[in-house]
Amino acid sequence: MTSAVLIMLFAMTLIYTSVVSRIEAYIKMISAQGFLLFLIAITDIISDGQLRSTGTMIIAVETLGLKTLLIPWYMMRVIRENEITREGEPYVPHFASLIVVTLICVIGILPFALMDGPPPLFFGAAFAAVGTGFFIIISRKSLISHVNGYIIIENGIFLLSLGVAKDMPFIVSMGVSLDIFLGIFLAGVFVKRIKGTFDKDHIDSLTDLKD
Amino acid sequence: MIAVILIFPVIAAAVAFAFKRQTLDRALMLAYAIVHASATVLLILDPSGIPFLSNEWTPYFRTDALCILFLAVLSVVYLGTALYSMDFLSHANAGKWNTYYSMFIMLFVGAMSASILTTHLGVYWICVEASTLTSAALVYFYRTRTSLEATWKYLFICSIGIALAFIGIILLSAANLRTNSLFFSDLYADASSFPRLTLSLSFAFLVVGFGTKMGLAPMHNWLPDAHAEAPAPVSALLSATLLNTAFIGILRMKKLADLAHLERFASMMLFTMGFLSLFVSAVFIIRSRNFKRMLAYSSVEHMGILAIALATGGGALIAMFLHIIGHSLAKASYFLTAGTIYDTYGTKNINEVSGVVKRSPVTGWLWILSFVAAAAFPPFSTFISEFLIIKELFSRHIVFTLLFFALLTAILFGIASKTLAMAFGKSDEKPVRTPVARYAPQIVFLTIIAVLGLYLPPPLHDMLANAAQWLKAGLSTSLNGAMK
Repeated sequence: MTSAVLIMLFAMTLIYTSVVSRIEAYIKMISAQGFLLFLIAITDIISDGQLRSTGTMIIAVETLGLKTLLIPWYMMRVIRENEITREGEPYVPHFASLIVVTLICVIGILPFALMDGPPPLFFGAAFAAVGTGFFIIISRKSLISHVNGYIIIENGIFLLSLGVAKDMPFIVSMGVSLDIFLGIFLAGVFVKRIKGTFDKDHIDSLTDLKD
Repeated sequence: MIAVILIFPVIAAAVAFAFKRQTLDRALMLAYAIVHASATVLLILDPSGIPFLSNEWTPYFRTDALCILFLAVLSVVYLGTALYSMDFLSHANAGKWNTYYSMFIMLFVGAMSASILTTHLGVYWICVEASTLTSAALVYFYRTRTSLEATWKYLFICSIGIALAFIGIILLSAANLRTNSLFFSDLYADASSFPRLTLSLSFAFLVVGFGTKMGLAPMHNWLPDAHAEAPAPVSALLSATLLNTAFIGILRMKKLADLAHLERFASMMLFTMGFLSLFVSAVFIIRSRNFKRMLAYSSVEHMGILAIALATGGGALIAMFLHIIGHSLAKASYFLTAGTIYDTYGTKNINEVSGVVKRSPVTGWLWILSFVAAAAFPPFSTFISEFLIIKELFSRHIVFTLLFFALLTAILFGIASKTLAMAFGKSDEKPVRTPVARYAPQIVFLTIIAVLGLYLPPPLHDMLANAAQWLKAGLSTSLNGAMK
């Protein structure tokens, strides 16, 4: 029951991200998602007592340490150093993206609710997050929003991996490595590089290469 | 032996980083190429009887009929590019990036070897991730605005691909709760008991995910940017080995789909992506003004051909493995030669380059011969492999064969007109001397595939046949049903 409420909250963060335009609000939502994932993991898996202590540790460090604190903190630093505050004109107006993301959530959950198999909220919310992340990447212009979209995809995948974590803890570690991967690529590409090389954060300025 | 291939680059990279001496960097890079080649030869000879060389140190890495072929291609191409890099680095004046170049190229080759040799889907996925990260640093070698853009796109698009593949893996493990194992052998043993819907979904995610890395349309967008902006030896490695590394994942998944009786769905998907790749490369090759981008689109084309051959099955499978060898060596030679042209002329613009044959005869002729090999003309082995693929396709689907022909002709026309215009024509500049390291690797690559086009040695034929047999193992009827 508690986890159902938490997953609903997770789905609400998705809808909220579709209408905000301040990058800081985005990052706060991503951090909130990380914290919700931590709570979901605790109520749903760790309380079962089925997972060995190393698995529990990995999940706790991943969700609280990486997803809730470290990555959002790093993103905040990047946007402050690069003086990025707002998303420029998105390709899709906010009202339209609100409707699209709501639809994605419904379409994500519906088939699993009708299907007699995996828990519908769990898998539904996970696929809704993947869909929303893709939608954000497609519909926004700035690089930093693309990274946000990618993190939302990742959070969805992590939720999905919690679904099989009881039987295969290995999968969760793979999800962690995805986050580490993201961390390295953010660190590599963003640390002052973008600022030093480009004037503004728009992806418009990353369109020199074409045929 | 496998341990040597995987551990050597990590230690060598650490040593290179600690000392940062240019001669040491280059020596280590070349040493790894030689170690890699000798280890591969030993693995082909199968040393399982000799205790000291045994491969039993971990269940996660083993050789089989499939991976030995890919490892051999990687080894040959890396040896050639390492030689070429000796001269390339001495003229690059890149400062500490010389060290980074050697470090990352060794780690990159190590990551690719690991993903070729692994027996576990999860480990494969992690190694593919690692190969993306290490090669991204190499794409950024020139540190210009455009190389930053290429690196960014490469990382971002491939990360999304890798995330999609991860969804596929999660679905696969949700379908496979009986054994809870992601070892390929366990997956194959259980294949027929998987729920079909979950498995098809999982296959779709995995093929799209690894297909992104392989450069199949419509997820190929990173490929021309990364290949064009990377230094030539890196482009050669990306095109000739990294794309193969992603293909091996698709091959392993295709076998799983076949065993689970999903061959129709799997073939349909690969067929569609293959033709889409051919179409995209035809359109962009004709329009392209940058010769390295043109070569990159030609890689998209060849990956499309491989996907079509895999979907066709039957006799096309042996041809597909031969085509992997042919394409890798031809394209490595093409990219290395493109690098020499870029360093001589200082531009990648096709219209600003002419008379390469006059200015440096050996480079000019290598440029033409690489084109002949990549465009699948005799005597090169690419001709035989494409011919066999077309023959098999023709016996199954005439309309698609015609489409295949039409697209290949368009691509051929596009590349031919541009390559020849660059090779011949006027050049007012003085002829330049080309160092041996800048042409010897290409001559060796082209000689190998020319010989293979005329005569296929029985051991190699056995290797190809074994690999094809590995793919078909466990199913007898499905290959005929696949395309009908």
